[in-house]
Amino acid sequence: MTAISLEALEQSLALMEDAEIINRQTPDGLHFTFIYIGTIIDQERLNESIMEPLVRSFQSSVEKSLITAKITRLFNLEQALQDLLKGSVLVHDSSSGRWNAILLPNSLSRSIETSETETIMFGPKDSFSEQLEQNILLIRRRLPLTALKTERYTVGSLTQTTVVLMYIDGLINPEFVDYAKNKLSSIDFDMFLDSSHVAAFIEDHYHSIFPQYLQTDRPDSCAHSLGIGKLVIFVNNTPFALVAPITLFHLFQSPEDYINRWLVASFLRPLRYLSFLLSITLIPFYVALTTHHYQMLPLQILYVIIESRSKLPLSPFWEAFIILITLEIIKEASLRMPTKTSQNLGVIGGIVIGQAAVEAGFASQVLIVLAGISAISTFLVPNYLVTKSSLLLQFMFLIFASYLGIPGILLGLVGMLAHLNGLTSLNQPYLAPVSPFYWRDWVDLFVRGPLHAMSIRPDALRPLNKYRVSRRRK
Amino acid sequence: MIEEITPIIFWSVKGGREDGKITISTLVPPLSKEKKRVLTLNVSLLNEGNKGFNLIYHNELKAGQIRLLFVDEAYAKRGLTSLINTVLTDPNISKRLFLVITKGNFDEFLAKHLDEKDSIDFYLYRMFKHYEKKKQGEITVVNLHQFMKMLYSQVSDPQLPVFRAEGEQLLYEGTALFDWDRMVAEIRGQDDQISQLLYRDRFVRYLVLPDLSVTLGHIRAHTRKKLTSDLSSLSIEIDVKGRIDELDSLTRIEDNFQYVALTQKIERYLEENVFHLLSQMQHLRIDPLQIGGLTIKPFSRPITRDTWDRHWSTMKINVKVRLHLEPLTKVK
Amino acid sequence: MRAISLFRKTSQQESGFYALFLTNRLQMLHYMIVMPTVLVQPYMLWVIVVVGILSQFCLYILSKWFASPYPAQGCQGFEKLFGKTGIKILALVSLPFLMLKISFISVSYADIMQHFVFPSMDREWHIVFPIILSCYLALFGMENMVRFVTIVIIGIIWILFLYIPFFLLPSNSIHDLYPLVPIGPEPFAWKSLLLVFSSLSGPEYLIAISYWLSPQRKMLKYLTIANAISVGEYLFFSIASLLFYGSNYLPTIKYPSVEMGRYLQSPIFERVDIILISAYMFSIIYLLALFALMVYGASRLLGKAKKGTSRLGLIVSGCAMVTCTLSISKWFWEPGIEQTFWLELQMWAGSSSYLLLPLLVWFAMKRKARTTS
Repeated sequence: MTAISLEALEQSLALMEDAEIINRQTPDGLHFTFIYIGTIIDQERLNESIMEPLVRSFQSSVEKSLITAKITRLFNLEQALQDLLKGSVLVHDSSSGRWNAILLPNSLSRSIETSETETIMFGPKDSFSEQLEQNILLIRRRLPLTALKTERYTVGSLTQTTVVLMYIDGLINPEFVDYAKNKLSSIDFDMFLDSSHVAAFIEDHYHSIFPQYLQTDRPDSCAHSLGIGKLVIFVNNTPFALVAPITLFHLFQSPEDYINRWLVASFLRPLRYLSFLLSITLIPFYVALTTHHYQMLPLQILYVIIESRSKLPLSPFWEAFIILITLEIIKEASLRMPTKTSQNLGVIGGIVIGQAAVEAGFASQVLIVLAGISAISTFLVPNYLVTKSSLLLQFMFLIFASYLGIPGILLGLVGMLAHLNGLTSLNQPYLAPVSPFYWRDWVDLFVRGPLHAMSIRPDALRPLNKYRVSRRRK
Repeated sequence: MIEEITPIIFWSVKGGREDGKITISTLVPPLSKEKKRVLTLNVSLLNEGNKGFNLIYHNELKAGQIRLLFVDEAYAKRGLTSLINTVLTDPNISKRLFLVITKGNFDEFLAKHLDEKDSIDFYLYRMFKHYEKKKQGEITVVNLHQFMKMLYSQVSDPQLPVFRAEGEQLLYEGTALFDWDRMVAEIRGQDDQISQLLYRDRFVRYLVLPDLSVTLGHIRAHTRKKLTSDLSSLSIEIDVKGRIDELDSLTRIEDNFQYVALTQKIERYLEENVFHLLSQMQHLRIDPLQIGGLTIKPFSRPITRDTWDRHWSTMKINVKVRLHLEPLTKVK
Repeated sequence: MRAISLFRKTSQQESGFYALFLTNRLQMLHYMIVMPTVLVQPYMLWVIVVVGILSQFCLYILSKWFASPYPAQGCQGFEKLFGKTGIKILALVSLPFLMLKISFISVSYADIMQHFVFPSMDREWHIVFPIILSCYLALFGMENMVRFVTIVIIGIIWILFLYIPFFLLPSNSIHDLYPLVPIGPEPFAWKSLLLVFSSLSGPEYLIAISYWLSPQRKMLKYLTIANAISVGEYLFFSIASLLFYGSNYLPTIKYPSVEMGRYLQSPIFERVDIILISAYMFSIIYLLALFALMVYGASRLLGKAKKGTSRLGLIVSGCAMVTCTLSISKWFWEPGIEQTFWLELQMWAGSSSYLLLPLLVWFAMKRKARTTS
């Protein structure tokens, strides 16, 4: 711990051209030294809320002069530098010789915009931004409770990223909070630039392709998660917050589910599960049927397929593999290309390459159609990370299908379910409420039951306060 | 790999050669745009035929999709057991295989249809499938499973449809009746149509009765059969609902009496025909209508085939037909 | 290998549903393999009901075990009842029963797979792949395994609905279900009673995993429901196959459930039986994994149980299972006499374990109660 001195501060701030050291003198002859980093403080308010009151109308101590500001007493150089880098102005007055830090950060940030990853037609359209305080504001507006606790942590030796753990005290199971706190305190890495980096270090199974934290930038879904007994972790400088504990089924829920009529939502949800399954097994199914089980195809379809395949040089497995790889290349390329050209790529990719591949004899028409259906089905899943994971799963099933046919696909499915069964999120089973079996939670599982039927919070989260309606006694 | 095989749709089997061999034919390639050929082989065993086909065609011919089995009448009269057993041992062949008895020169009929765009084998398969689905009493449609079930049941006998190949056409003739696995009789034309009524809940679109100059249409028949406990007599009641579709122009129905008279005339006619049909079956000691099944009671011993044959051949049969018809024009 | 705990218990969930689902799955293991071939006469349907009542008696005794305080204490509970040597004897005796059940199920299922799905692949491969996957499943620990049964049920329950069209075929007649009592020229096959009883056996293995089932007083209700569902399912399949085939044709069919599956037609695929057989593999893999964990646990009890459980130990148990099953499949599974031998052995073993094991445990509890009071 080094003592604070002007020389030490000047040395630390050497070669930082945005660091400013300003000396001012009051009419009474008191010297004030202001040290700040111009880019990260609010320059306008510096003059009116700090310099003006101190230099023009000093009241006898800094605390008495600046009644509206938050003033921290500094005792060592490390603390001073830390506060300086967080956007504080260091003030040294020659009368008392004390160093104080006044927090005056620059609140420059994006305005509240619509979420680009989770768009819905009907419902609130605000989303988080990179400013932590703004994000917390959006949640506090929705849950005006003193029980909504926020605890601050700092992670990353280089980035010193602020991480805020938010939960509703008295509702959430304290085990989750303790577990999350343990995990956050034991992080040891240098840079955390996004919530996925933080998630990678606090996850239980970082090898798995299934995410164990839900990343969302929608305040309404965060508020909903908090209200049913989960916790939310905000990371500074990223709009995506982490929600835990989650199950596989939460990855298939969309905020629009609760906005649509319950019958409509109950139709759309199984459609999502079905499309996920379709996206990972449709092409492997085709490969299995054409390689091993020709007897399963009805006669008319059989001849269509034989016709289309008879001119191809590749086996069904390689044909499917090449088409899938090509599709992935097109998808990745359209992400990276400049916006003006990426629209053309969609057209080029779909029509020209697909058709050309068929005519050149690389692929059969049936497979192109199936690949298209499979690609579109992938996007029905609301969670982006799961969409990307399904790609790997598709390849795995493809390999199983080409060697073992339909029993191979089933072996792959059993293996995948076994893996999912062993996953945990915040030490809670990943496939609840199916396994372990909580039958009351099924009202919001494969269908979205009416809100009237959800008078009890999910059993799988074991909240302290079970009831959502007021009449019941505990 | 799927493109290396050519699944075939049917086999046509014919016996009757002097050296005891059987002839198998099939059509290749099915349903594709190449030129078709009929492959014919003379073999002593069926699977030898399958293998033989493979050696004279460039793709491996797979029988897993075989859907139709055409058996020549002469071969059917000798007994179908060995043929069926061969077909059954191949685990790939589905039990929904349609069995058909053919008369005439089936190979010639095939040869006349080689150039068509619409493949004849697939067309035939679709025809059978259509009639099976519709459950109409137009054609008897029997698949392998139904044949085997009827074959194995103690007291009933199977039946199969009969088609005649005449030049370019394949015409439906009637139903073949079997005794165990040998074909013994055939009922044709009107008899066949009337016998369709005797199954449970059948729908026959048109029943032409030229002797009475009338056509009945959209017939729904509901049959009730009752056996007396000592198996000495059988009473059959048939409720027929339909309408008169066509009437000879000379007969006119002007009032209720004529209408009732016509109805009664048709009823008598149908009763006589049914009686005649059943007498024929009694004479041959066969039971394709599964009447023997009615003898099985919950708490009694099932009877043996010989006992049933004895009772069946001497059974008294009472037939009662009740007709509910809508007339062609308004009747006073 | 890091020492992980395969046999730990962390959740406090008290749910009798696991016992229900597990009992049902253990009892339905034979539906495709063995039944309903042997039940060719229609009066055998009553046999199923009668044996179901007998099975209910065994489950009643089993529920007494669950209601006692011993299962909640895990290994210590057993030690209190049987003593250390008693446990070792139990483990030693149970190993051959487990191995027999595992081998019989694996080889029969591999037979079906080879016959219907992949005739060109050796039967040995059809044995190896499911056992490998079941070892992978078992690696997640007993607690996860018990929970997994809900997923298995979801993966299998739809098969029942596929068989409903067989009740609605127009060629069905109620006469196929007659005669209802065994008056006939053939003598009554007493062996079929034993066969049905051994098919309904399996819940006695719940004694070994009662620690993870969070036993409670109302266990009997769940076990009864499971037994009723199993009997209902067997009746369902038997009636469907009798209506479809008739009692004369049925004895000639080797695997009626699968053949019936094959008769189904859908506009999208034809051979639905391939999907049915593959879906049934789900149940087989799950139960093989459960048995693998039991084999590992039993062998640990026989040896020194000082070290923690390890993945290597489980893999070794899996290898032992594979070796035993492969040797039976390769050298002792000729169709005819040898296969019937294994069927009969499994019948006797299953029936005796189902009858005797709950009774044994019950006597031990009674004796303990008498000596402590």
